[in-house]
Amino acid sequence: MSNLEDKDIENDFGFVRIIFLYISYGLVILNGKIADFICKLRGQRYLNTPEGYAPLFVEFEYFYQLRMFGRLKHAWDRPICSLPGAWIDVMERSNKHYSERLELTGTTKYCLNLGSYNYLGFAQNSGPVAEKVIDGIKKYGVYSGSTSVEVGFTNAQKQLESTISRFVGKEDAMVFEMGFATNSGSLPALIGKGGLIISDALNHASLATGCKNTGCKVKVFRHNDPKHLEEIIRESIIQGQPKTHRPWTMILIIIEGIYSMEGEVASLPEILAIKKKYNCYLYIDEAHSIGALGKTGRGICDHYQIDPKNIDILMGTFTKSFGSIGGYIAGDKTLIDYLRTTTYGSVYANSMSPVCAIQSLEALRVIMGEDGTNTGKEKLKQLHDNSNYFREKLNEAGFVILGNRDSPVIPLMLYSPNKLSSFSRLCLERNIAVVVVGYPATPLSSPRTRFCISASHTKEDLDWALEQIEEVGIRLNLKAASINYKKPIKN
Amino acid sequence: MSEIIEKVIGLFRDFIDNSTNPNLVIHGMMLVLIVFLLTKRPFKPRHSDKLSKKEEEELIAEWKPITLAPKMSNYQKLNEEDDIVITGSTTTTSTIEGHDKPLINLARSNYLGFIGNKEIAQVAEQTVRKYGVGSCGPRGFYGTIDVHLQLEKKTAQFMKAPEAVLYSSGYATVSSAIPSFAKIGDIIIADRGINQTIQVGLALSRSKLFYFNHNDMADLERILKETAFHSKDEIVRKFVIVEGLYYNYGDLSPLPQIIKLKEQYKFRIVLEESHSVGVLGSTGRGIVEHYGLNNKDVDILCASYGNAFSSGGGFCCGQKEVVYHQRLNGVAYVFSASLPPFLATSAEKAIDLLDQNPKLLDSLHQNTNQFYQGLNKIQGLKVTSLPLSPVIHLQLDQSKQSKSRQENEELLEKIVREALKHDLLLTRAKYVENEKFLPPPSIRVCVNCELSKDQITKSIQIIKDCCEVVFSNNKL
Ligand SMILES: Cc1ncc(COP(=O)(O)O)c(C=O)c1O
Ligand SMILES: Cc1ncc(COP(=O)(O)O)c(C=O)c1O
Repeated sequence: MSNLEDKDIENDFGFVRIIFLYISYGLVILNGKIADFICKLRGQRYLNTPEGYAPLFVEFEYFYQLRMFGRLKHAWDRPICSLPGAWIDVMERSNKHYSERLELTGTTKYCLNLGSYNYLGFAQNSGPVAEKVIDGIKKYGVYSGSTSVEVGFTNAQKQLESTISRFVGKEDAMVFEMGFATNSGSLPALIGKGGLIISDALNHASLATGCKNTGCKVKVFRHNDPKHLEEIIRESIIQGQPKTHRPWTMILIIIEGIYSMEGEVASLPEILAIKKKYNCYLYIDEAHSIGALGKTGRGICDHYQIDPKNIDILMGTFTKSFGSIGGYIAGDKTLIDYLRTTTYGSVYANSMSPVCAIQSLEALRVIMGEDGTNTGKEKLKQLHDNSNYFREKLNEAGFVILGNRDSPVIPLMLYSPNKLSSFSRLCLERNIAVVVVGYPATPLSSPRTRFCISASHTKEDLDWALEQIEEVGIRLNLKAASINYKKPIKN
Repeated sequence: MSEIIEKVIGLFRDFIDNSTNPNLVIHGMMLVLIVFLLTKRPFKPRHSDKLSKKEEEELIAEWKPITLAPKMSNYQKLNEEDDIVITGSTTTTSTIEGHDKPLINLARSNYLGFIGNKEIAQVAEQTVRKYGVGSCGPRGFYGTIDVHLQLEKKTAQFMKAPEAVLYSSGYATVSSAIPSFAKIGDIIIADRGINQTIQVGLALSRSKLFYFNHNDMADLERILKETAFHSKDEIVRKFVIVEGLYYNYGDLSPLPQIIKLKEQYKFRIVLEESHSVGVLGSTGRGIVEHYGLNNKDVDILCASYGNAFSSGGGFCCGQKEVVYHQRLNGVAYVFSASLPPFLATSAEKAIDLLDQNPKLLDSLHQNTNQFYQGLNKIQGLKVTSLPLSPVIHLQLDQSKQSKSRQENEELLEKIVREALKHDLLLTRAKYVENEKFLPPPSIRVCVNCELSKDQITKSIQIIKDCCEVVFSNNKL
C-alpha cells in the first residue's frame, strides 16, 4: 500500500511519455488549425461577430471548444433519466462529426454509477426520508422566495442549522441555498482588506472565486505541504503587507477535507500545529469529507480524532453525502451571528428551499442515529468497507491509484488525454458510468478517472465493476508496470 | 569621505608630477578607482540588514491577528434582531413561530402566488418519487438529468431565445455569467441602481468599471463617449449592464433608448431580469415584451426562477454561442451540483401555468395598482416605485425622515413590527452595510396576484394604522 499516500505520482512517470503527451497535444492542435483553415477557405465561421463589435471571447476559446474539447465532449454532460443511485439510466447520444453537437438518440443504457457523489446512498425516492420530504412540500411549498435575513428563514432551516452545528461540534451554523455560493459569498464577509489568505494549490473553484471576491492578497501553498505553508506564513508575517510593510490584519488558511480530484485527506494535524503556532485562522471545506470520513461521519476532525473546537470555520455541503443541495458554515456563535447579516449568501441569495432543508435534516438525523435506527451506522460502515475494498483491489490489480484509505474518492491515473476519452467510452460500453477529468481540472499531464464509491453499491456490484475495469485497463495499458511507473521511495 | 578622496587625489597628483612615467600611474589610478566603485555597490542591502533568527522570531511572536468576528454595527444588529421563523406557507399567507394566526405575507417575491400552489406541489412530489431530492453531481458528471434539459428547452421557448443554460441558484447566475465573458481589459458600464448580486459579478470580472446614474441615459451616453477613446486601434469588448425591473428601486430600465445607443456605440447588453420575467409584458416574457422590442438586441439575459416562478435556480439565455460558452466557462455552472430535479420540474410547471393562464398577470397588475393607490395615500410614507411594479418601495416621507440613516431604518422597523401584531408580514429591504451604492431605507412590499381585494384593502389599512401608531409614538 505504499503508493496510497504518495503525492507526487505525476512527477514519477517516464520522461518519454511526457514528450509523447505534448506531441499528441501538438497533433490535435495542428489538426484543428488545419480544419479551421479549411473552414475559413470555405467561408464558414464559428461565430459571426457583428461589424464594429469585439468578439465575445478570444479566438483560442473558440478553438478549444470546437477542436479540442469537441473531440472529447462525449465523456461529459451525459444526461441521465433516473435517480442518481447505485444504478442509473444513461441517455445515449451521438453525432456524425465531432464539430456537431451530440443529439439524444432516444435509447438509454442501464449503468453502474461510479460517478455521482452519493456517498451514503441518500439519493432515494422512497423510504422515511423521502416521505418527510413530501410532507414538507405540502407544508411549505417548494421554495421560500425570500432571503434568510428577511422572511425566508424556515423552521426546517432552523432545525437543520442547530442539528448540523451539533453534528460537526461547533456552537452555531448557518445554511445556504448552494454549496458554491457558501464559499464564494462567505469569504468576503470573513476577511477584508489587509488580510492574507493562504490557500492550498488544489482548492476548489468555489474557494478560488470567494478568495478573488475578498479583494485581499492570496498566496498559494503547494498542495497539502505543511512545510511550504509554514515557510509562506513566516515570510508573510515578517515582511508584512506588500509595499507598506504594515502587519497583516489576519491570516486565513483555507484547505479542504478530502480533495475532490485527488481523493486525498488533508494533513490536518500538521497544519493545525502551524495554525496554532502562528495564530492563523483555519477554514476547512468539508464538501467531500462530511458524512463520508470518520467512524461517525463527522468528517476530517473525526478521522484524525481532533477536537473541532480547534478549527475556526468548518464549511461543508449537503450536495454529497446528504443527497440534497446547499451548504453550511459552522463556527462560534459570535462569528455566525456576524455572518448572518454580512454574507451575500444570506442577504442577497434566497434561502435554502425548505424541501432541501428537510432532506438534509432527515439524512443527518439518520447518520446521527436520531431517527431511532441503526441505518446511519450501517451506511457509514458500508461506505468505508466499499471504499477500502475497491481501493485495495484496484491497487492489487496494479493500477496507479491516488488518495488515502477511507476516502470514497478514488482517482485512477490515465496519463494521456486519448485514454481519457477511450476509458470513459469503453466503460460505458460495459455499462459502467465513470467520471474522467483532465486539464484544466487537473494538471495537463495527469488526466485521471475518478470513482466515487457509495454505500449503496453492493459487493457484487463492485466485484463486477473491478472485472470490467481490469479488462479495460489491460486494453488501454494502464497498469503501473506497463507504463513504467516507478514506485516512489517512502521517506 | 570626500575629504579623504581629495587628499588621496592630491597625493597622487604630487606623485604623478614627480614621476617619470605619468601614463602608467594614471592607468593604475583608474584601476584602483574602478575596483573601489565595484566594491561599493550602494543599492544592495548590507548583510547586517537581514533579520537575525532571533529578530524574526520576535516579529512572529509579536504579530497578533484581529478577531474573526468583529463587533456588529447598529445596522447589522437591527437586521439580525427579528428572527422570523416560517413554519408553513400557502399562496398568500405564512405561519410563523410564536404567532398563532396565519399572516398575509407581503415580504416574499411570490408575484404569481406559486408558493404553495397545489399543482406545483403535486409535480414536485411526483418528481421526488422518481428522482429523489438532490442530483448528487455537477452537470458534467452525471448531474444532468432529463428534467434539466426539458427546463432549458422550455425556458428558451418561453423567453423566445435560441437557448438557455441553468444555474442552481439565482444568486450564482449573474455573478457567474458576467465574469465568464467580461475579463481584464474589457469595459463594463453599469447602472448605479443594480443590486449587489450583479456587483459581485462585476468585481469578479476584473474589468474596467464605469457607473452611470440610475436610469440616466445622458450620463450613459457621456460615459460611452468617454470610453469610445479606449477603443481606437483595437476594439474593446464593452458591456452595458442593466436590470429589467430594479429590485432596489421598483422602476424599469429605459431599454429602448439603451438599444438605440447600442447601435451607435456598439456594446453588448447584459440584462438582469430576475424580477421582471413572469411579471412584465402581456404574457410575462419580461421587459423586452413590455416595450415590444426584439429579443436579439439583448445579448446576455440572466434571471432567477426564485421570484415569479417560485422555484430554485436561475438561467441565462442568449445565442447558441453565448450559452455554450457558459457550459465550459461559467464557474458556478461547471463546479457546482445541478439544480435538484424537483425544483426544475416545479419551475417548468410554473412556466406552463403562466402560459396557460396569462390572466394571472392581469390580476397581478390590478393588485399592484390597488396597492399603489392605497399606499400612496398613507401619511408619512411615500411610494417611490413605479405604479406597474409589483416591487413596491415605501420610504419615509420628508416630514418623517431624520438625518441619520439608522434612525430611519429603526422607524421603518417599528412599522414592520407593529404590522406583525396585526397579522401582516412585512420586511424592510435589507442590505449588506458596505454595499457600493446603498439604496435609501425602505419597506419592500411584494404584490401577489392571488391576494383578494379584501386582503389588499385590509393590508393597506393595517399599514396605515401602524404608521399612525408608530409616528405618534415617535413624536413623544
Ligand atoms: C460547436 C458546438 N459543439 C457542441 C455544442 C453542444 O454540444 P452538447 O450537445 O454536447 O452540449 C454546441 C452548442 O452550441 C456547439 O456550438
Ligand atoms: C470542495 C468543494 N467545495 C464546494 C463545492 C460546491 O458545492 P455544491 O456542489 O454544493 O455547489 C464542491 C463541489 O464539487 C467541492 O468539491
